[in-house]
Amino acid sequence: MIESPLFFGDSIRNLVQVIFQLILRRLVVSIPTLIGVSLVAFLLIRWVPGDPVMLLLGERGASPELYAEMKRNLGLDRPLVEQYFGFVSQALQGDLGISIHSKRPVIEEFLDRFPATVELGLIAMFWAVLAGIPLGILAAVKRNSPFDYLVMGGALVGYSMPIFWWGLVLILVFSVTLGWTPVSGRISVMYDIDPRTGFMLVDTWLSGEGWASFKSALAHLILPAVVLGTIPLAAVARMTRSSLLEVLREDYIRTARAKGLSFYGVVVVHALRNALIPIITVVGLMVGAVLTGAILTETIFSWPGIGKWLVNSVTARDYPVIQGGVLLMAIVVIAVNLVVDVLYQVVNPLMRGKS
Amino acid sequence: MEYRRLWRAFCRNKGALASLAVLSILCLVALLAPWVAPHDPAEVHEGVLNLPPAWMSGGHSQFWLGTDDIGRDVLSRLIYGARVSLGVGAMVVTLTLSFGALLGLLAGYFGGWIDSTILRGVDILMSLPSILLAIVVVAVLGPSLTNAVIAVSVVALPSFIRIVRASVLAEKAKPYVDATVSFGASHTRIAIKNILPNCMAPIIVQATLGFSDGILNAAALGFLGLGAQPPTPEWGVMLSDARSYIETAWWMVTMPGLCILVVVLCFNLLGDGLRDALDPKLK
Amino acid sequence: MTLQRLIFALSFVIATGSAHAGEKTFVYCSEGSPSTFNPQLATDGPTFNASSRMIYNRLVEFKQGGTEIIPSLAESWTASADGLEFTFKLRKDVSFHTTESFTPKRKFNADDVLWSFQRMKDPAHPYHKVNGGSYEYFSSMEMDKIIKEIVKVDGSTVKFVLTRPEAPFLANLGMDFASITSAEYGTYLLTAGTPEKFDNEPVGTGPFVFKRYVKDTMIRYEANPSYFMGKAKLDKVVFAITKDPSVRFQKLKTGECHLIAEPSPTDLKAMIDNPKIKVLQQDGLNVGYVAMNTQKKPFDNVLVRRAVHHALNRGSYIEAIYLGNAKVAINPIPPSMWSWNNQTKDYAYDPKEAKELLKKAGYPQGFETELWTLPVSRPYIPNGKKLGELIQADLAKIGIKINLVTYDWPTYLAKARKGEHQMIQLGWTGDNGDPDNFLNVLLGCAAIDAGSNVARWCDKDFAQLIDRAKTVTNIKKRTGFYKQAQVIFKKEAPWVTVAHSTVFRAMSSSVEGYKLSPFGTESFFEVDLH
Repeated sequence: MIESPLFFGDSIRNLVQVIFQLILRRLVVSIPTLIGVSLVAFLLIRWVPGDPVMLLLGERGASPELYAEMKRNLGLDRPLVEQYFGFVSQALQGDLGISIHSKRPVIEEFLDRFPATVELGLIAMFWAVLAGIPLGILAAVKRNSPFDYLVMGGALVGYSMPIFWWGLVLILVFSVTLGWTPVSGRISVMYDIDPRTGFMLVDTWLSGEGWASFKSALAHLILPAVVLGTIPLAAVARMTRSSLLEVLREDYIRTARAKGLSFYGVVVVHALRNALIPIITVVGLMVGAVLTGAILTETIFSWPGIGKWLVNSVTARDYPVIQGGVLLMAIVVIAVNLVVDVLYQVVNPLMRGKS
Repeated sequence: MEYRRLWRAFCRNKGALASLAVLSILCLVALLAPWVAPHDPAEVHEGVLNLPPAWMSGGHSQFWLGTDDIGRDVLSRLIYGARVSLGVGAMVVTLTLSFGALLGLLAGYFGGWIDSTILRGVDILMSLPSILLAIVVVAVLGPSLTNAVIAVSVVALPSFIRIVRASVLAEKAKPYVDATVSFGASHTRIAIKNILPNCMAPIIVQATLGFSDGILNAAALGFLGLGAQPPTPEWGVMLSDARSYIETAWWMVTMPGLCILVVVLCFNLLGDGLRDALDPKLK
Repeated sequence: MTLQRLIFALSFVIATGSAHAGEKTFVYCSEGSPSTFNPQLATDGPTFNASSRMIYNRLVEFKQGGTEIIPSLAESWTASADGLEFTFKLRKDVSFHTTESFTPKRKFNADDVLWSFQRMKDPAHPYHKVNGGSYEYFSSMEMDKIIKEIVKVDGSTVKFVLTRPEAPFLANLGMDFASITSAEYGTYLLTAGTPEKFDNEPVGTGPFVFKRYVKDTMIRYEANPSYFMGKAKLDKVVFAITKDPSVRFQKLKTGECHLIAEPSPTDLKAMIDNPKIKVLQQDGLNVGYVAMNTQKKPFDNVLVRRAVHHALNRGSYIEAIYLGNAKVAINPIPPSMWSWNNQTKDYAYDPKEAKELLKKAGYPQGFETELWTLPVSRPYIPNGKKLGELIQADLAKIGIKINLVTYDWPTYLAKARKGEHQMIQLGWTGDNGDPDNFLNVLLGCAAIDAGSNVARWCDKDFAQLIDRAKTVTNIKKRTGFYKQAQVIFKKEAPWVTVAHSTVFRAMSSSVEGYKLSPFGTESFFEVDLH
């Protein structure tokens, strides 16, 4: 991930400086990337045959004059260069245009759906880390035991899982056969939830519907989060195990043990802290995977998030949504990567200082 | 001598060895599909819709894994599906391998503006959600298996370029390169004759893993209805067709997914094994 | 409060659809998100169901469950002898909704009618450009060309002056896009500086008042206490947006919904077998067909087209594709529509005859061609891919080799419009119950350029008949013209008419009073829960 680790010393001031430089450099680099992303999204979606007017007309069709007029109404008759610069100059002022389908600003539409994806992604990552790290630790500690083989085998299977199928299987078992979890959606329709924050788990409390509605929201989250978290879970478990094994070989761990610390104490306090760096890296990498995986997961579970919205907009040829939504997604991906790298910088020198 | 050492290292990894065996068998089955499959995969058997597998009540011994919603033999479709999926994997790997190696080599070897241009391109591709990118590419080109392969290859390209570039950079720093340059060898010659062969280890590993990614993504596209078209028996398509029967015919949902899982798992195991054998440090 | 909710939720899980004390909340599992809450801006069913059918009314409406035109906001109307003027007498006792942000100060009147139509027609209208400012349905029905002017005669009388006699005009006014919005609300929002709310926080006259929309998840309504037809029996209606038909069925079974939109035909048997579920069916106002591009070889030859017609075993498709819920189509218009010709002679399934015809046409060995399969599931063809595979098998028997091709929906439409296809699956669901809405839209000569006549078939005699039928208002005369037109159509065979499908809805057995609309739209005003 990190191209060149920058180490100037151990002091906090240096750390701040390093982070500041990192952010600055990233911002500079991300400008051409974002321009490229906007251009690719803009051109690709217009390159697809069929246009939004065609879709609005459906089987009915329209005379060539009327068709041309409708295209003009949507501003699609202007030359591409003009359209693109119009889009960019508007975007710089924080305006991503109006969705052709819903006739509402793209940014509003994005913000309406973004919390749903974040909520799902957070719970999935939370679950992956919460289960992945202990499993990895135990596997490393009990190296070459049947438990280790089981966990690593399971992780490999999880890592190879076609998640669109995995989602169907879980629905088949837990929703259809056992009836334990709801099939799809975010919450039972029986609760009237005001989407104030967009995070259903929070909104249930704000809407005063209390515990039962919170439980319903949570029940709706479980299967999608498990599905989405499967690959990150496998990756985290594998990474925890292998980095822990490496650390356990180091001298200072032996010293610590020689000092009479309990084995698990050493593992948890010393070894794990040092294994944190590769784990953070893999978690950071997985955030990207979660955003991508969310598209499939959201499709299977009818989860009203960004992924589903973008896929539907491709089918609807909603040009402003595609170009604006993809740009916003790219910004999110870049921001997340930056946060991960900053975190890495924070953890890294401090670790070195202590060891 | 070298290969024998590699082979011995590889054989120590039982999982990788087993997946190699499974994959070989699958390849053989795929190649010999017309002789192995009990039926024509596109043949519609009248009056036997949604038949369960032979061992279940209502099953028919003629159709081991049952029939689908219009009366085609599921086992035969799975066998022919192996052909499609392995073929797709191979094509994706070939495409990404050739383009990825070329671009990675250019970026790593020449550096400068070539490097930064290629890297920006990689950044752009990586900032786009990969499934969405594949969906749009297929929408541009029209849904077909070939176009799905192209789309999946485009998506797989960035990580390939990065890996090749990184190992070229490492290789370029070695003293022998400077020595060769001082002897007056041309850049192309050094890049192809000296550097590339020495970067083979990570490329081979990535290619193996690229197989699994390619198969997985192509199946995902098929699942979304953007990949293979009827009557091609593709596993992802079979899965999406079976979706509406999830309650009444679980086997139709289970079988194609299991096939995808097994193949992907085998390639991942194989990749792990190769990596350990080729270069333990890569781990 | 919390305890009550808990018990409420539990009772819901345990006793499916049992009556709850007090409020009647009706849950409808709809198939998609509405794009907006103003039907003037939309062309899609989910939007109409969520807006025009719940919140708004029109001057005239279609009788519940039928195609007959009945008074609504207009209590009566008269047409001039030349068919160029329609005068509507409006009801005086209609109020617009009172919502959290708006309280109407006056009753509905002629200003609202003018306001609503002028928004779509007049570029100078203050709302013409608001929220995208495109009125696809209005323009594609050519309403801006048909309507010359709209005159306010007095506070409760409105006159429409037309540019040409247009027999289906009255029926057009019953369509969703012709819903009446509030001029007072519009002005109010304009002074508040938030005109864009007009289409997202709707105020109408209809049986239900809009409460809340949670993106892609649910829409909530409450009964309008002062609805001019009386308060609805339901107190609350919830639309639970559920895209996947099998999921909708699962939710119906678990009691999470009372009624589901567009059930999948594959689940129908299980629904009928379930004692807690009731299935209603009605003949749909639709047609599914396979069109042959008459401008391309070999389909420019009528013998080839007839041969294809004879070769397809359409009876078997009814079972395989529609699972029995359809009738083989003989005419392009469905039997439930007036002027349907029961004398038309159909092409029987006869591969021998088909081969004979091919030989006569000069293709004794058959030929190779493409069939485009419908990429979306529609009531008129629920599974285009599967239908394609069956047609492929049937035509192989007479030596025609079919390659199946498909594209995603907008691409499909765009390419079909350009006439790039050979054979193509398509269909139509009528939207105003007039035969003109089928025969002219799908088979008129002008429809070739419009992209809806995918057979690209232009027959002079046929065109003359449907043009004349449009200008006379006498229904008997019109019927005669349309019957003749159908005979010509069948003889020339630009399409293989595949089927008219049955529309059906599945609901919990506690639902009463629900009527299916032949247009496929929903109305819950008369629905009750037990």
